[in-house]
Amino acid sequence: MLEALTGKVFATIVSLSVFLFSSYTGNDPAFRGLNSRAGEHYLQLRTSLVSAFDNDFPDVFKSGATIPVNFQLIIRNKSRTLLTRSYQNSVRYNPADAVFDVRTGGMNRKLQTASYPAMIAEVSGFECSLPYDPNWGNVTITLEASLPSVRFEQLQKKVDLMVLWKYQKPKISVQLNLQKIS
Amino acid sequence: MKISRPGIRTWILLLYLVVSIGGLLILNNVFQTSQQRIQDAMNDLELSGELRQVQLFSHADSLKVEKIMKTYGEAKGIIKLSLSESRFYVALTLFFIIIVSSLVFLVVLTRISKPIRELKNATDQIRQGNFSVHIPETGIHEMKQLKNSFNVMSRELENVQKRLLVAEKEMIWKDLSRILAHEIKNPLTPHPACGAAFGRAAGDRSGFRSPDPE
Repeated sequence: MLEALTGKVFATIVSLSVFLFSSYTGNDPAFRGLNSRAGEHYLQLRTSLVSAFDNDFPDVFKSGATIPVNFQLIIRNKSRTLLTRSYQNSVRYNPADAVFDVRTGGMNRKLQTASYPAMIAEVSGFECSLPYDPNWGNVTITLEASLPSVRFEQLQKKVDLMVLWKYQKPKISVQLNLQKIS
Repeated sequence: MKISRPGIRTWILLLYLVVSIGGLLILNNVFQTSQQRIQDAMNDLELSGELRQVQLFSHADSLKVEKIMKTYGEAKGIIKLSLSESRFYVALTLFFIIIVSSLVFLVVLTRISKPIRELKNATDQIRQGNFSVHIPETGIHEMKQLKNSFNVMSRELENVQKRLLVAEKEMIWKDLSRILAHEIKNPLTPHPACGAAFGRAAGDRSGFRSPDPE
């Protein structure tokens, strides 16, 4: 509750200060609605990030360093945490061949593409399949994305990528009744 | 409708807004413009595409070119990130400076204007004849001194007023006693003359002469 309030206050301050005093646009990442599908024993979740990699990211992706995107999934029943999972998508650009190597953590997929939009579509996507217990009943599924600090090996420099998201972590929550679904 | 003349507080506020915040905004604008120019120049800078066209004859050469491309790519990425970072933090810092300095300014202004208001009210009371007015010596150092001087002045005025009252009372008593003495003396003045006249009249009848009053 307090964390959410602090986050909202900070986001307002950041948006206001950037709007008033800077020509910096940055990115305002958000999740498209979280789709869920329940199998017999597995729950499949799918969503993607929007407006997350529009500004300033082309040069960062083309830097040649591995750029990870972290996802954290938490399933709660009221205040009880039932399941926590972390996933990571990553992009690495090969300047010699001008291709992007994309790995998506949720489904363990690999893609090699020269197309920037295809790379963005792949790295923005989140898809996972996880076991569940129908007795969990009413649950809240929360998914949060973040960018870590990246170390540029050639220049031996570490930079926090969250600045490109104006230190705002996109978050989405949905409520599911697992007993009904199963 | 009567428009009142702006007070000193308004003038200080206006001066602060124009000089302080205005100056910061101009400085920020200059900074943002130069950052934007660097950003535009960075967008036009492309090297890897040209390097990929170069014909390489040995593995060592291709490794060198690959290293150049990687270093160039990382440098470009770091510059882009650093530019974004600086523009973001400058905006945030400027916002905090304006908020914090405005709050500090308002606090200081209140701590100056409130004692001035108190002094004005106390002066009004003195003008109406209430010399016993006393204001608490709170606030910033200079204000404490000013209030202390005012309190000393009001105390002295009160003492002077008391002394004047005492002197006035004494004068009234003196006047009253003088008047009373006069009033008592006046009716008694004819009595000796009357006594003498009665004495003479009685002496004439008995054959004795009363001594001449003169």
